[in-house]
Amino acid sequence: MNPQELQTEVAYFNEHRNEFLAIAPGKFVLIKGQEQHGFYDDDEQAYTAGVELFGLQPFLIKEVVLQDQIHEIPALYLGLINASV
Amino acid sequence: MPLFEMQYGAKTQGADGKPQVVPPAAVLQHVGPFLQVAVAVHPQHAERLITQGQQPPEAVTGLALIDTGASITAVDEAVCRKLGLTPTGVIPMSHAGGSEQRNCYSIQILFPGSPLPSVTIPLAASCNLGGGTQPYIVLFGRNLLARLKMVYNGPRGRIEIAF
Repeated sequence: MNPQELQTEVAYFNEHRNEFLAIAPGKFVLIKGQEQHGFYDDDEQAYTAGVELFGLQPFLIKEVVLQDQIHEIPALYLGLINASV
Repeated sequence: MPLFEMQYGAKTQGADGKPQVVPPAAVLQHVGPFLQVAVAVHPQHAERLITQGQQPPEAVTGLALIDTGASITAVDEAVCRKLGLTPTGVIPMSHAGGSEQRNCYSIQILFPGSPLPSVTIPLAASCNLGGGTQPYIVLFGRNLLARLKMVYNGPRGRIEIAF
C-alpha cells in the first residue's frame, strides 16, 4: 500500500492548489497524471467520473482546501486495539 | 430511516468451569460498539469488472468498530489487497511520532443480517488493523458517522443505528 503510487498526482495538486482554490474552493478535484479532470461537489461524484474516465487505474481525488486536514485515529497510535498506523 | 438495534452479549467460563453469562452492559463497555460487516469493491468498480468479463472479488467479512475518536473511516490494508483495490486518494494521518501519508481506497460496506443499507466510501484510509487481538477490518470514523444517527445505550448494552 505504497503512497508513492499517486506521487505525481499529489505533486501536481500541490503545485496547482492555489489555482484550484481560486476557481473551485471546497470542491473535489479529479487528477490523473499531471492533468485535472474536473471539479465535483463530493468525493462520490469524483469517483464516478474517475471510474468512467480511467476504469480501475489509480487516480487522485482531493478536496480543494487551503491546508489538508491531518486525520487522527487515536485508537491506532495509542495501541488501543493493538494495531498500528 | 432504517433502524437497527445491536444487542451485545457474551459467555465466559466461571471459576467452577461452568459457562457464565456476561451482562450486556459489561460486554459493550469492555469491547466497544462493533458491527458485523462485509467489505466489498465499490459498485462501480464491480460493474467495470463485469464489463471486462471478470467476476468481482468476494466481499471480506469481519467486524467494524464504531470509533467516534477517528476523524476518518479506515479499512484494513490486507482487505484492500485482497479486493485488488487501486488508490483513490492520499491523506496525511497523525501517529505518535508525527504524521505520514496514507493511501485511500474506495469501498462498499455491507451489513449482513441487518436491515441497514450498504454504504459506499470513496476515500477510506488504509491502515494495519490486522495486528490486533480483535478481528476488526474497519473502523467507522466520523466521516461515516456524519451520515447516521446512533444511540449508545450503555445500561442496556446495546446500540441503535438509523441511517
